[in-house]
Amino acid sequence: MKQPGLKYFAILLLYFGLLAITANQGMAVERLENREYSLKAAFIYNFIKFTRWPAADTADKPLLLSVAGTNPFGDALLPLTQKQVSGRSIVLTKAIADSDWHDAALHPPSHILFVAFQDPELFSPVIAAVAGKPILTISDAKGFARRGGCIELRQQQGKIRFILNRQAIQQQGLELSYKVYDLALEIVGE
Amino acid sequence: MLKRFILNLPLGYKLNGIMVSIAALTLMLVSVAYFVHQHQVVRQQATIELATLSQIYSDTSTAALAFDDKDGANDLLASLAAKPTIRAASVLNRHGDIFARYLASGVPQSLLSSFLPNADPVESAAQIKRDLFHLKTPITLDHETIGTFLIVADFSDVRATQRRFILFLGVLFSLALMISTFLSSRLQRHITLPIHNLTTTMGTVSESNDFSLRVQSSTTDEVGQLCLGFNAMLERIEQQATLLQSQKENLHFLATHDALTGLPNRTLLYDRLHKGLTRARRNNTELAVMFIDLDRFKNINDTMGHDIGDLLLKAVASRLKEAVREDDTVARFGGDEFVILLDSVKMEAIEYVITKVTRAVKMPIELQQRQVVITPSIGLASFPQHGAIPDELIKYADVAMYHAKNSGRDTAQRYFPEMTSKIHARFNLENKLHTALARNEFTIHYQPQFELRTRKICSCEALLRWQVDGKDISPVEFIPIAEDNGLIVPIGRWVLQQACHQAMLWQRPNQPPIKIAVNVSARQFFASDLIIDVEKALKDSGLPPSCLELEITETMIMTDIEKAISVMDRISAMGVEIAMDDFGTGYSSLSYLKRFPLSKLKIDRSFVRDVLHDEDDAAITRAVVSMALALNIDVLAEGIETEGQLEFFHALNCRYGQGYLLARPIPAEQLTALLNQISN
Repeated sequence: MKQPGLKYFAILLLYFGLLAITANQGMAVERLENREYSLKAAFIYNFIKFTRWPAADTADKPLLLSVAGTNPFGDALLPLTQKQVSGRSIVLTKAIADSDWHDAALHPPSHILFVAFQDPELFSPVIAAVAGKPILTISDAKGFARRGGCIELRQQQGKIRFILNRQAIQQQGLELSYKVYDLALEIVGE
Repeated sequence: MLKRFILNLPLGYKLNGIMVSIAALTLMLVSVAYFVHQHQVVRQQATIELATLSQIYSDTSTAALAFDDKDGANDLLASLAAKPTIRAASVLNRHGDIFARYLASGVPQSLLSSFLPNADPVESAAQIKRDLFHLKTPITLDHETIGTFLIVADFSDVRATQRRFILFLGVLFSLALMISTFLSSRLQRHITLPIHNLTTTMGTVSESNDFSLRVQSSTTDEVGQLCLGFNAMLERIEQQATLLQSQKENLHFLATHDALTGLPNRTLLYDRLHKGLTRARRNNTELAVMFIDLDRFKNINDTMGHDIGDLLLKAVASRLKEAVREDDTVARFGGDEFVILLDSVKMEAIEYVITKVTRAVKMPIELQQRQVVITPSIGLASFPQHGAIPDELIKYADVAMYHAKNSGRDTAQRYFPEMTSKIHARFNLENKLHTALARNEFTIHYQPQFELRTRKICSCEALLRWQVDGKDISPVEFIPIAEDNGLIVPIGRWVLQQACHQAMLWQRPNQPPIKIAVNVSARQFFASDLIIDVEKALKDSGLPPSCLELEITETMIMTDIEKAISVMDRISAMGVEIAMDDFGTGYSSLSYLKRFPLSKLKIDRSFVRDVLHDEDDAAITRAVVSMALALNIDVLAEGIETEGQLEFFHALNCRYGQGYLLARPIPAEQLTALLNQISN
């Protein structure tokens, strides 16, 4: 005799299983992205450590970190605010909308600006806007450094590497330790 | 042992040793100090170098560690390959896990972990294991330690450097030591050379006894002063030595010369004689020894005093020296004995020398305003005839002198062997003479003296006779012996006593007195107790002084005329008469006759014997007799043996005579009988 209930139970079980798998998959992707950005956050922290801002910038003031565009870090940048660099605390300005990055980045001027725009048409104006100002620009957008950004993060073989634009860094009036240069995947603007 | 060896080393070696030792010690200390310093410096330098390197790498690797860039860190460490001393290095993360590492080829990984167990990542630490230097440096980023840099270096190079340095120091040390040895051996000569000179001179001085040497010194330091002091000492020694030498010579002179006369003494004489004999033996020459004794020197000494005797000896000494050649030796042998050593003399010349010596001695000597004549008795012995050794020659010369003395003095005799036996006989005789008086061996014979005109006995001469063991010994033999040894004084005294007693017995009442003539010897005459003896003899016998006649000889008086005259005066004052015996044999000046209180002259038998056939003797006799008569002195002729002689003297108015023709000497009893016969 045939048991129609068992059949449904099996289909249901399969469904939930699949569901579980897909759900699990989705969680995994998210977790992967989280790990990538917490590494990038650590990189940003390291860059801050190896960078010297002009002397006019008083030492006891906190270092301002802004993100232009949609913040991809989630909460990953928060731990940085717990730390100090050369006795200066790091203050994260509030998330910046795509359109009003300008004010956020320049009033008052940030020390570190992470450019979240991936499109060159979007990040180039930002580079242009902060050019000559003591602002360390960092981005993981492709071609960022080549287009005048200071530091371009790039993922390679599961590792975070970076491309540096010496000229840009110098034009911003910043000094980046040679030790960092030594580690660069590529240096442009020589 | 070693210490004795070092102490006995020459001064130069010692100085050298000290200087080189000090130099070596100093160099060693400096070398060790320098090495230790250098060792520390090198090690410190290496350590600092490593620390710097470590600092650079830890600093450089900060970014790599921060950005978790292992490749970057490894690349960085790989650059250490350029430094060969770095064996391994590693970067550890904050958990101590190896983040990056570098291993030199062939180095095991365990080298890195050997330091890990007690690794505290925060603190820097260092460890040296064998030659491996582990240095740990924390990697900080913004005051935060993010890891550790560990480096391992091989310090064996440092050790090699040190070895090279030790080698260098060793070479330097040896070189410096060689230089210091060379320099010190050069420089020490400035100090040791003067000392060496000093030592050498000292050695030469003590070897050669030449105190005129001096040390040459050019410095004024202590050594120079030492040299000066040494020279001063030498000078003083030299002076002392000179003084000593002169004293020695003086002493030697005193030891070899007679103090009184300055002549060589017996010691030097024997020495010269010994040498002279050696020379004579070698050159085949002859050598003579002349032994001289002064006749009756004792009398002079006794009567005139020792001072005069000494003056006489001195005078004789200088005369003897003048009488012989300069290289002949005149020595004082003792008392009044002199010996002349005639070197390489010809025997033919000896007579001449003897004459010269005799004449020199016999010349009258004026001593304290008195004329003294002394005669020598000389004995002579020669080499090779008589002897070949000094003692022999001296002895034989002495024997010959004795003979000269016995044969009447004032002569010279050459030695001949028979003399020795005669000497023995004489010694024998002398020994017996000592006891002759006690043994009653002496007797007196009396020889009558006659008045020539009446041929009557008027006096008699007492003549001493000595009988030993029934044998008569001639007075000529024993009187000189008694004279020499002084026995003549007691014997003479005995004779005087006996003769006076005997004469007293012969006196007869109502008859002319019989006088007694007694011979007085020189010794007796000059002896102080002659007068006492005469007085005693007269008193004891009761004989009137006018019956005693003392006979003295001419030569006796001539030894000291003044003294003789005074003695004669005193005798004469007693009423005793004085006759001069043997007149004509001496050398008395006739002028003295006047001064002598003589009552009788006895003409010597030698004149009487030849008076009949020798015109000269006859003439002398005639002159003497007439002169004596003129001076109112009686004359007696001795030794009348013939009638012719008797007639001759009788014709000359010579009053008395004596001789064998008239009467021989006879014993007292016979004379008594004769006298009795005549008176009856």
